[in-house]
Parts: sequence; C-alpha cells; structure tokens
Amino acid sequence: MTSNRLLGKFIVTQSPLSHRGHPLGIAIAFCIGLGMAGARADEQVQPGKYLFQAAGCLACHTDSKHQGAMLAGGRALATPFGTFYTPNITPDLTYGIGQWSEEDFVRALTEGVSPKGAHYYPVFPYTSYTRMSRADLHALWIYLRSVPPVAQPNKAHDTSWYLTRIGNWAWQRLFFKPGSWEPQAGESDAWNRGAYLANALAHCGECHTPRNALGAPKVEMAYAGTSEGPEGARVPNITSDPDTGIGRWTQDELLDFLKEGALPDGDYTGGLMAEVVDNGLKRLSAEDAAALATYIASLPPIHHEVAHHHEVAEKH
Amino acid sequence: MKKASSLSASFVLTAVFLLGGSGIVRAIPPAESVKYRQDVMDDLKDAMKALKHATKAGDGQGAAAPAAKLQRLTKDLTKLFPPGSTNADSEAKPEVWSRWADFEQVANDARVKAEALAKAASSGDSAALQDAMRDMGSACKACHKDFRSDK
Repeated sequence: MTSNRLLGKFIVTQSPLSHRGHPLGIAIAFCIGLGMAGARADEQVQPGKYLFQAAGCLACHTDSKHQGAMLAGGRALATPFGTFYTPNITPDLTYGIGQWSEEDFVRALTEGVSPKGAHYYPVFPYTSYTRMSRADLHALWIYLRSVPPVAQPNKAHDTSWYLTRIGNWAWQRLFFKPGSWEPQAGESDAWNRGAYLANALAHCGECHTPRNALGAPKVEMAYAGTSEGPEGARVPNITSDPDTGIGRWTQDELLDFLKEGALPDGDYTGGLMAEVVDNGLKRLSAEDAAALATYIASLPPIHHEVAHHHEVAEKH
Repeated sequence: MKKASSLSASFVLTAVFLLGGSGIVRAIPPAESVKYRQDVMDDLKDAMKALKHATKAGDGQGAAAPAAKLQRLTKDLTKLFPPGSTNADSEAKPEVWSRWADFEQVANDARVKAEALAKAASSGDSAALQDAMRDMGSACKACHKDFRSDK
C-alpha cells in the first residue's frame, strides 16, 4: 500500500522527463523509483517485522505443514475445546483483513473483538496482545499491510456445540482484563523489557500456564506447565522451582534455549516450542533475549510436576 | 465344534505362514525397538552435552571423542524406526512413518551435520566447531519439531 503510493508519486513527478528521454531512460527511472520505494518501504516495515516475529504470528497463521501461503491461515490447532482453524490475516480484500482499518486491528488485538463485533475465542492470544503498546501495535499493523495478499477463504472451526461467540462475550466479561503493560517500579529495565516480551508479545503464558475447565488461565499457577497444551503437548513448568521447574538452569542455559532450543541435558526441544524458537525467539536481539531470560528466571517458584500422558491415562 | 476349531487352527497357521513370509513375525517386538531407540537417543543427548561443554570451554580435544560418537550414532538413524516400532512409551509421532520421505531427509541432514561436526572437532578450529555445533543442534531440533511428540 505504502510502497505503491510512494512509487506513484515518484512516477508522476518524473514523467515529463521520461517522455523526452529514451525508453531505456524510462526503464532506469522506473527501476530507481522501485528501488527507492522498496528501500523506504523496507525501512518502514522492519520494526513491525521484528515485533511480528517476537509475537509468533507466523506459526499459527500459516499452515506450513501443508505448504500453505504465508499468513493465509488454515492451520489446525487441536485443543481440549475442539480444533480451531486460524484465519487469513494477509491484506486480501475478500478473504484476509484487507478491508480493516488500523483501529479495527487494534480493537481485535486489544479487546478481542472483530470489526463486525464478534467476540474472538481465547485461542487467539488477544489476552496477551492487549498488553502491547500503541506504538508496537502501529508498527505491527504497518508490517502486516506489507505482506502479499492471498485469496484463501477461512475454514470454520470444529469445536464443541456449547462454544459460541456469545459464550466468548461472557468469557471475556469473566476472565479478560484489557489494558497495556505497565512497567513495574523497582525492577530493572531488563526485567521490565523481559516481562513485556513474555506477557505481551511472545505470550509464553498462553501455553505454559494451565487453564481451568472454562479455558481461562489459572493465575495462581502462572507458568507452572500443563499436560493439556495445544496439540496435546505436555508443556513444562518454567517457574524457578528447582525440582519441577527450571530453577537449576543458569542464565547461559536459558539463553542457549531461547537462541537454539538447546536444553541443559544435551536434548533439543521439539514440537510447537521448536516452531516458537525458529520463528521468533532465535531472532530476538541479544539484549531482548537477555531481558527475556532475566524475566523468566525471576518467575516465582511453583512446585508442579506436569504429568506425562501415559501417567494421566493410568490415573483415569 | 471340533471341525470349527481345526478350521480356525489352519486359518491361524496360514496367517502365520503368510506373515512369516512377509517378515512381520520375525521383526523385533516394538517394545525392544522403542527401548533400543531411546537408548541411542540418550547416548546422542549425552554426546551433545559433552560437546557443548567442550565447545564453550574452547576445548577442541575434549570435543573429538563425543563428536566421533555422534557421527557413528547418526549414520543410520532411520534404521531405528522400523515400521510398527511404537508403543505408549514411544515419543515418535505417526508422521515418522506417514511422511517417511521427509523423515529420511531430516535424518540424513543429521548425518551430514554430524560428519561436519566430527571434522570441525578434529580440525582444532574453535570458530568452525561452534558453527558446526549450532548446525548440529538445528538438525536435532528440526527432526524433533515434526516427528517427536511431547509426552
């Protein structure tokens, strides 16, 4: 959008010159115009691209398992509440979010409400994105406008009959607190940056915090892990509890994990966490990775042994 | 009654003969394959841990032995996954067998990266060793991403 407008201006101002010139001159002028607009546009989308990676939008909104187009949606997310299919968030006018305004986008991410007023299922982590700053939301919006539009229709969710959009409205009244992240006085800049990254962008708690029967995070169990993660994954306790959490990890080991998915015992992470590392965490700047590690290491210890699946099966 | 049982017995015998002929009966029981595979994976994990420590300490000599072990153990990773080698204890996803060609590709990539790692470890070039370690870790993670479940 932005690059087209820039390019248009350039061509209009240059056109009298080009008419007098050689066709090659026109071509050269056109190429320079394209290059300039491209560089300019690239500069504008970079901050948003970084946030986009940290926020992990790509993994859920792209059906990479079936070579789906970038951000065209359709990825299946199996949860205890049914299977959700993520929507197309490319700027396609018919099937994507091409007709949205920036206000629509901000409302979706911070209030969990679509432009038509429908309330989103909390599988979409607006519950975390609501903590994003207005400046970051703007940058993210600029980046999302720059990706290629894809004409791919959305797929209906395959969920239990009792899950409805009206239910989502009630759920939001019960469990959702909108509002951006406020830095904590008395904590270091690194800690506060890490807290913002973890709680607003990377939405770590969406998977690492267990949920109640209504799918709301159990606040008192923040980051203590669950055996009922997305796609049936066993999500580990990442609080500082030394026995059931990661309290024995060094800062160095935490950084190795965020940057490479390497675990202290020589193992390497897999499943969804490997996607989170590959698409987002390993692209964090050194400062941001260190900030995130600082915050995660400070999570209050919660003694919570996350059951392995065969143990859960034996209990029932 | 007697006739029925002898009929079913011959049925079973025929089935055993057919299965035996196709090699299924002679295959290693899944529990044994799974246990063996898990032991190899544990050895790989230990080798990676030793390598990580050696790499961080800039100890090229200390890296040589675990790197050689890693190379040996990754030569034929797909052989650790015979068809049907799964049980409640196994973390191998069904995708290992349903997307066998993709699985072969990531397993082969691990072999290639382990060879490069062994070479880097014996070269004494610590920068090359660090790069090779990162590549090896990516290969482990790439396979775990698609083919290992978090149980």
